Amino acid sequence: MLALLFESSVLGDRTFLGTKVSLVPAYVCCVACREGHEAGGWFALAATFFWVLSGVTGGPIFMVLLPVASILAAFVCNTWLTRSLFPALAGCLLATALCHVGVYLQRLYMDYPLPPDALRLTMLQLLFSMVPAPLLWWETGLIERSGGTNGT
Amino acid sequence: MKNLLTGRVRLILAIAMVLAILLAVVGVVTQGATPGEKVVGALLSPFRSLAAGAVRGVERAYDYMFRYEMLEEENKALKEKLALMEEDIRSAQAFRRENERLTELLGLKEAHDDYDFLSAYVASWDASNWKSACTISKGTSSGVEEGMCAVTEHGQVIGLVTATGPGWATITTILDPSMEISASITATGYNGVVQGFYEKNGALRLNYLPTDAVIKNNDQVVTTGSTLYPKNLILGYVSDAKLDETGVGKYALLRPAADFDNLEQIFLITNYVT
Repeated sequence: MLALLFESSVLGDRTFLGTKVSLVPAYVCCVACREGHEAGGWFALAATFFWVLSGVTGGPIFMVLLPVASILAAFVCNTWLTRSLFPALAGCLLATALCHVGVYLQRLYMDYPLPPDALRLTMLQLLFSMVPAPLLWWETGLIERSGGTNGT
Repeated sequence: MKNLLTGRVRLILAIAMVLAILLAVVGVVTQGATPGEKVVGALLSPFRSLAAGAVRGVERAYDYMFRYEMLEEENKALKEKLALMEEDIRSAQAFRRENERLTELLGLKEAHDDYDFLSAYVASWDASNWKSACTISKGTSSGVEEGMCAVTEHGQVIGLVTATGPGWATITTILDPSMEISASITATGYNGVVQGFYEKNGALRLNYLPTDAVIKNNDQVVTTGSTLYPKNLILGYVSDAKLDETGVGKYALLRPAADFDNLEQIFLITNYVT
């Protein structure tokens, strides 16, 4: 919810080179990479449902793609790579790219009005959305550790 | 090696698919906000207001600390402008008295006396590149209804309420290409339809003008009035004019009158006489 509030209330009316920043997919993916693909998948499902109901554009597309991307990223991180920053960042990029390219393609093929530089805006959005991703990874780590400490 | 497609993962994917289909269907069938969106909107509304208030506070503190000199200059310029405007007001008062007499003669009511306003603060903006909409901190419990028109304190159109919940409402701005408003150029009386326009960032487009229309830069464009919009609200100013794609009509590009980048407070017109 913090990521959602930051995305909509703090950064909502700010554009960077014409594009807005999207934090929720990266955040959900960070949590999934830390928790593993099953627990992370459940979290991704619940968080995406909440995000979609908050009125985000492209809701049904996100509802499928974000859990899929999170499960995939968490599985690859935990099975073949390490549970560390760079694999998680790659996962975040995958999740954000799948979601926003998905919405871009939906709008393109369903004849919604699109700006002429829509693809450039989507690519820039991916780029800018990755900038705070290390911070999100660090923050989810803090939450995980505090949860672990409180649990014992 | 672990198995990716375990029973739980399959279940998650199945639920995701079902929810996506359900959301898509409900979204198409329901006008405005869906019941789920209303619940989440109500839940988020206090947090959004809190976050927006905190952002405004931080921005004001930043402005106070780092933009003092700039504000001082701006203040000086505004004072000069105010002096000029006061002079304008004096002459306008004379015109107004004359106008009042003429209005009385014509048996017309003074413009906009019939409007009822409801003020609200902008709590958040749609984070998508493909939509121009904001959420405000008032909803159905304060009397906000779908279809109400939002304006600035200067009567510049911001948009329409397109979804509502108990403590929140979504306003789709006139910059969104889905919005269409019948409008006219004040100086010449040409009528057309104003629409959001992606190709020029933050611009509007006044469509369906006659090919022989004489359009000047900075001509004011206002609403012509409908069941949703009262008459004579300012939409924008002409910045360019061209022949449209068909070649049998003309369109004008407009600079929106409202400053969407620094929008904090808006006013909803809750009642007016058509």
